[in-house]
Amino acid sequence: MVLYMGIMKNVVEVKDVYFAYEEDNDALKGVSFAVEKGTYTTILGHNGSGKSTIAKLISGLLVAKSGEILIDGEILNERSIESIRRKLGIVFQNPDNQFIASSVREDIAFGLENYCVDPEKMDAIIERYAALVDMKDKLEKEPTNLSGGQKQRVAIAGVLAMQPQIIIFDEATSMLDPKGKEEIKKTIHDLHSDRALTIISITHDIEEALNSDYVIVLNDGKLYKSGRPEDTFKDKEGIEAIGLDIPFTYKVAFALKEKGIMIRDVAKIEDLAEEIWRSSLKN
Amino acid sequence: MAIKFEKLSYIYSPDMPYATKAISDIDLEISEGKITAIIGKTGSGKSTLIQHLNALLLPSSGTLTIADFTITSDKKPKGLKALRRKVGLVFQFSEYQLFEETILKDVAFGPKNFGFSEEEAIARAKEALGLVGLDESYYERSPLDISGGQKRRAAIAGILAIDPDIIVLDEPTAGLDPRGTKEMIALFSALNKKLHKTIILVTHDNEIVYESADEVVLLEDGKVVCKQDAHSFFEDRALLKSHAIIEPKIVKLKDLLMDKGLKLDNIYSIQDLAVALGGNHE
Repeated sequence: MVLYMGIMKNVVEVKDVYFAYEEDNDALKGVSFAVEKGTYTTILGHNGSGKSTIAKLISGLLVAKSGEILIDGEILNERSIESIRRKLGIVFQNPDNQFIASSVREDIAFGLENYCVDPEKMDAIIERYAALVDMKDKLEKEPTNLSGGQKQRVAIAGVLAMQPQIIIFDEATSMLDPKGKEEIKKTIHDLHSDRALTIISITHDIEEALNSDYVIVLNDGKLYKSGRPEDTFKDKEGIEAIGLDIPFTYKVAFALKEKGIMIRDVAKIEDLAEEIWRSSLKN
Repeated sequence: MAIKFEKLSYIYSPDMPYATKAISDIDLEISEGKITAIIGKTGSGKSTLIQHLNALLLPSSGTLTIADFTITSDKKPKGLKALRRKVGLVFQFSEYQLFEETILKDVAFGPKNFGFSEEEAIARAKEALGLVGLDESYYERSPLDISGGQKRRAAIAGILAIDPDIIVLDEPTAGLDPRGTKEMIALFSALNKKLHKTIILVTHDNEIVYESADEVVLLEDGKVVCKQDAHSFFEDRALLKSHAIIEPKIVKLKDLLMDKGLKLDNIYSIQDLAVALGGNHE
């Protein structure tokens, strides 16, 4: 990952980490990367590439076989785990495994209660984050009366309410409907707009990766490449060979190139249409 | 095997204060031998609707007819088991339901349960695993030891081993990586084109609907908004806008280009577009 002469601070550093769920079968085989403070970093990789394992190691839910993980400059170990957990929130894929209370309000309150937040301030905090994920009118609902997507939004509100420095989204939007996905992605982007929060998103959503600051690509427990998304996705053959996809706009540009139409790589469909329109005028 | 819903409604917890009408007055015919996608927002009634197809839910009112089977509120259909051999339902995240020691045993469980001999159940399981692309090297492996995409396919094989005419899949690509998604689309296209299975697909992914479905059923608030040919559905901009449906990317790009004045016809894929534009340049 690019370092700007030490100006940017790495909030997560993963150094030569090995991990195995079973003996003689390493799920991670010496992975190293760093995440700069305040960035939006996506981690891509096929199912079984080690993405979720990395997330669990960073958040201290698993312990590495060897190697070192630093969070905000502090080595992650048994002694530091409690203070590190305060800096880091994680939202998982399956909403049913995350809902713990009997109403939306209580679920968001759960973490706040653990951190001894003044009960008088709690309702305002809960309502603020519930509104952010569009669940304010469902605060008294029971989890059984919520859809998977709604539960997931509650989980996100619960993590946001803890005001962590780093939030890891482990395929957190993969079970939402398209509108829900867009809303959550927008929420994440809005949260990230002042660059105070570091976002690490493990995802299969190529378009999300394209709009992030950095992409880390894992393949079979190893780092395949990392860098800016526009550089990463130029490697169409390599990315496709490891079972991943390139963004739609890049695919169109490649297909047009084969027909002799040269256009620039752009991220947005609107810009792509503009590029194609301009190139059609030249001919 | 025609599938016909007539004035079908379903109410969750009908006698309770929080009774919720999940689907109401559904009049719908699903075409035989086609791939039909059922789309709609979370909570629009998609899952409730499809659970009627093999009588996991019985309607609160109205009728569902599937070939010779009639399902109404007051009676369980005669020959429920026969119905469930005709209609295979693959649940969302079906891989969580794998439970046997080996993949082969797991897939053979279904046919055994329907009364086939051990030998025949195994033969059917092997055939089904072949269909989903899991060769014999997988037979004796534990279902826990394979990747998420492979697990999902093993779970689908469990349904295929029963050889249903109608296969209903609830979010079959959710959570799969891009390669797993491509393989899944190829699988249900092959089941439809080669084995002439009627495929009913519940999905949130309009890219997949556009790429693979013949027809689209749009549900909203428990009601059918429309049932239409997939291509014409996604070309109806007013309809998409009024129901907040996200256009497939290729449709969006085509629309933007046409708005700019380019003349484009019959563009259904990136390749179509490249050919059309490449032609303009020659």
